[in-house]
Amino acid sequence: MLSRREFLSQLLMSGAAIAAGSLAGCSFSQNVSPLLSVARDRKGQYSIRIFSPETVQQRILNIPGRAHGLSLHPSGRIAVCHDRRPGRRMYIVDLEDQSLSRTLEAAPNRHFFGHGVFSPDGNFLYTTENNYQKGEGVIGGYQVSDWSRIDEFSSRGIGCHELRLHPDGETLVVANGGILTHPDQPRKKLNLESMTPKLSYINRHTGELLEERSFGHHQLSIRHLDVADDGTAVIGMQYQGDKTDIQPLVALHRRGEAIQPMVAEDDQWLGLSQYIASVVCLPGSQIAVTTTPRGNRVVFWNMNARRQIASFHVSDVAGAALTGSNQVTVSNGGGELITYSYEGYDMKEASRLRYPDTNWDNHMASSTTNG
Amino acid sequence: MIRCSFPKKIAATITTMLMLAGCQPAEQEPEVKLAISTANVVKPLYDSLSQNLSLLSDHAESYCKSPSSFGLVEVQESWKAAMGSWQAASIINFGPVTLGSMAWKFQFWPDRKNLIRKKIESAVEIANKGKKQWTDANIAKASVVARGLGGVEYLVFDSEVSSLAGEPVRCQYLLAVIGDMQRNAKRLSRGWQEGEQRYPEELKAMAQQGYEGAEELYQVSGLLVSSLYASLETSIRKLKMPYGKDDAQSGNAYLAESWRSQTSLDHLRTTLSSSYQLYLAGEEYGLDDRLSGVDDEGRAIAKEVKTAFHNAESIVNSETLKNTTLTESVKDSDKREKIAQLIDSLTNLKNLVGSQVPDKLGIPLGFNSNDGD
Repeated sequence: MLSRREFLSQLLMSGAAIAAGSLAGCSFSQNVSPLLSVARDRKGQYSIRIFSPETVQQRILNIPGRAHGLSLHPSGRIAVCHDRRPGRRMYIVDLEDQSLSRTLEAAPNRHFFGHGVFSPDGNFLYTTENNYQKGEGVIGGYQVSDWSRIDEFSSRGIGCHELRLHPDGETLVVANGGILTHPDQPRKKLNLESMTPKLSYINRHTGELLEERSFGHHQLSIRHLDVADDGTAVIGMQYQGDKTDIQPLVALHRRGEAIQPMVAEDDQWLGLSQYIASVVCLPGSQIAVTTTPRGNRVVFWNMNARRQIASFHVSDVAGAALTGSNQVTVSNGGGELITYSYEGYDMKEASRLRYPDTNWDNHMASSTTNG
Repeated sequence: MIRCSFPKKIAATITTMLMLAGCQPAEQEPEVKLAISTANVVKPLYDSLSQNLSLLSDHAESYCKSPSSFGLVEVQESWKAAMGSWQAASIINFGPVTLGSMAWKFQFWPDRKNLIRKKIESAVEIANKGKKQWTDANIAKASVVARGLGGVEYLVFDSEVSSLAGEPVRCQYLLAVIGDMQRNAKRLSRGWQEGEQRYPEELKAMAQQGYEGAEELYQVSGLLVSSLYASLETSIRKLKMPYGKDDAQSGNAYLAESWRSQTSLDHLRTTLSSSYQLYLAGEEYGLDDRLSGVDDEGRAIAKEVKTAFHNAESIVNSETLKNTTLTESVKDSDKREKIAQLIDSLTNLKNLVGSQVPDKLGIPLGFNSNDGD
């Protein structure tokens, strides 16, 4: 059986994935991990793209509005794209024939928050959703065989956003951002004074709360996260207070311990402009990467020392995904893909590529992540 | 190096004459021309900052050797010049200033919670207790809140502590903070000098790269537009915060940018004028020419932007706002009305720069930074 990465590489190499706006006839490296992201073009058309970080090669699947995160099925044959808050659609992408195979609607009185994750066996998909009648976050559970929504359980907080699977395969790690929203006032934050963000560990079979942690200022919304091979969760926050309040926006958590902030100078925190868009842990290392489009910065963190090890200026940067054994690629609103390679704690820009007429959206997924 | 810059009309005439004489100069691509003119506009901004900080340092040193009221006034005046230079340079948000959160090292703003006072007094107290001496070697370890031009303003203008500015410990701290800025300004100035591995070359390379791909890319235009947009947004915020809501009672002068020195409106004038110069690239090929070169609609937009700059400038330079301060203006009903007009005028300009200009040039502006998810 092909690995996910092999499958997607072959998919793009076949040429079947080449679409309008791409360069025909380009060879595609076996080593490269194809990427997935939502994008917008100059006409305002949104699409899901399957594309190469090495050459301009892509498949464009148009969708009716802006979406957010993507989840890759363990087989690498299916991806799910989640609507952006307060959207009610979830797009199933068939990667074998590079098409949108199905669009699912949110359950009544629910909308999507933008992220999801598959179970390790690929039988179930878990998504973050809003029960907006009660103002509570829920995790929707879907059976992949027929995409039926079989159950839901509480996310144990308000405004759940990104969720990841713990390496134990049984536990969902959920960023409960704490921000109350309602689709009647789509982008308005309704509880900034009383919000209570939490990082919650939930048994994916029973919905049982296994552990929950709060951290720092009540307006530090825990929104994005990744979980390293050893189970350490790295969380990226968005601060809802003043622009010049100095708050740690990146922290890490190990089960049974308190959340520990990364250590940085005041100007380093201020430089992140109170906003972390993506978090990726690099496998086989103690390094995490964060992006901030408001601060125009990609930061590499040493998880052991809890300090910055490198920082790069990239305008409007948001998406981040693994693209090789020692490389990570970030995307920005200007259509750029910038790949960094690393050896130990030595980071350097390895390549830069721009897709024409493309604004890459907030998140990317690659065939070497859990999406 | 001596650089000759000709007014636009003279340059055009020279070009025509050369063409008639059969010596047609190779036409540079618009983005490359923009890269060159941008460097010519930006470099003097950092040079001026560096020079004015040197002057500030000299005056502060003299004052600290022999404190006097006259000496303090000299320090205050040179602070105003240095702050003016920073305001003019602060509109640039690309290039060397993006390394190491440099802008924060020059100015911490807004300071809603009066953190500057808190952090500086804490740093001074540590030194007073003999636990630490603030020097060039360790000042970079102090929080940016307690450094930069806001820190110096507090030390030499604040009505409660400026009389203590000549005390040895405070002076030592003052000189260390100024020295830190001087070094950073020199770095910025060096970064914009001509030469290999310097930013003007990088900018040119970036511009040239745009013509090698499948689609024309307007990277330099993109940097300029996003810089202008951000600086206009900041200017509006600097007015809106002290202005408050639509009644005179809600005006809060302590939220003005430089309330201690009463120079906020001067800074706004400087920033606006510097933004306009960046847009025009002085007398050289600027964004206005870039827009006009696209089509008739582009020409109309360029004209509209120019008019909007003029409108904002005429309000901020009006009789009502001349010889007054932002502190006074947000409390006086006539002046408040003018400030409200200025806010509207800048907002109109910002909207033009943020929508019609990038649309016409085909450049994206802050897609993810406006997301909020």
